[in-house]
Amino acid sequence: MHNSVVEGIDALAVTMLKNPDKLIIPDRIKDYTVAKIKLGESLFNLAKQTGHKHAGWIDLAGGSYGDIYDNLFWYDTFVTLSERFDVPMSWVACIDIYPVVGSLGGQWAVLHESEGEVPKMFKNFNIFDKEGNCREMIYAAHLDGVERGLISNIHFPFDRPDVIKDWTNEANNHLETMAEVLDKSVEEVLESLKKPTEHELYTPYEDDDSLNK
Amino acid sequence: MEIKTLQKELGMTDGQITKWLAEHNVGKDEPQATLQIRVTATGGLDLAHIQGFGNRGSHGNRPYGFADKFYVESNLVSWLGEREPTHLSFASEQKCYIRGCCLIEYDEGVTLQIENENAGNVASGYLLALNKDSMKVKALLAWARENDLVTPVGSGVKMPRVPKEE
Repeated sequence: MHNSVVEGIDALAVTMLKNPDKLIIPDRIKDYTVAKIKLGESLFNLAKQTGHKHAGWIDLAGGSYGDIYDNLFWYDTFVTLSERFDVPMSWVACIDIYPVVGSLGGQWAVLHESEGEVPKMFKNFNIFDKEGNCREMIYAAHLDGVERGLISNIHFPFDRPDVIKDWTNEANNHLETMAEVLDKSVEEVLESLKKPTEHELYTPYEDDDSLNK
Repeated sequence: MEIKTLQKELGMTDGQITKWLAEHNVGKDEPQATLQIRVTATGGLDLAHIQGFGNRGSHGNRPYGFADKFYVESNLVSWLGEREPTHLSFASEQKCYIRGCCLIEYDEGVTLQIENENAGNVASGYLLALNKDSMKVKALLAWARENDLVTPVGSGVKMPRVPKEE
């Protein structure tokens, strides 16, 4: 149990640094990342080989780090590490991590400053964005930490931007209205918005007794 | 079906609603409630998009009636994708739907039978059971019942089944 979300995330980062074996990128993620790197190299090569004749491939070949390590790569990263360290995904997402991937393997590295034997984390753990507003993922981490009983103080100590607060309040009001109109609880409405785990329409096979339940 | 109400909901003039009813093949003078299924659903894997025309009751979720996407087995998606669309969407002028969809109620549950000359999981088209735990299925059935699109077969009639593939 931690006093605050900041304390909890800092402790997680230290735990990560002490367990590098848990930061090895699994082959499944490494393989698709390597495939994208090789495709990027191939495209860049094509642009270089044809640039003296036409500029057709130039725009496409101007890929960036974000094309390889895209949002889905990061989502996969957060899912994997949250399971390995048994913490909410939002906690992992608050930590500055960068991937090192090669043909033979990959590793997630955690940015930090070492101070003696104990890694010092605060330098790269940014609570505020460039405008001085609290990062919304910190608030998400706070809510997730409270929900999982990882944080003792349920008061969130930072201010969120008004525009973001308005946005989530509006979404919450809409959800509550939907629940009222449908005569369901908010939880039931959220559940109905999920992609179901079972088919909603399916072939009724001869030996399927689920229909008789 | 009350044409004036539908006309108001769709925001159309007299001429426009007459044309719309004819183009969407739902009956010009006395429009009939109808179900149709999209041959290619968008927005995710293994989805079937069902539209219903009919504005009776309170469970519709579209000006013309009902629409939603349902999570289905991939074989149905493949079969639908091979069909030639015959009808326009109720939400656009795109021809991307087929008809022949009937909801039939048995003691064990409700089926959606898609009558088609091309065999799917049955010779007469495709036979599906509706998952009664799904909230989206419940919403579809609530709307369909209001619009007389669920046909009860009577007590004691067994739901048709599909032989398990070897």
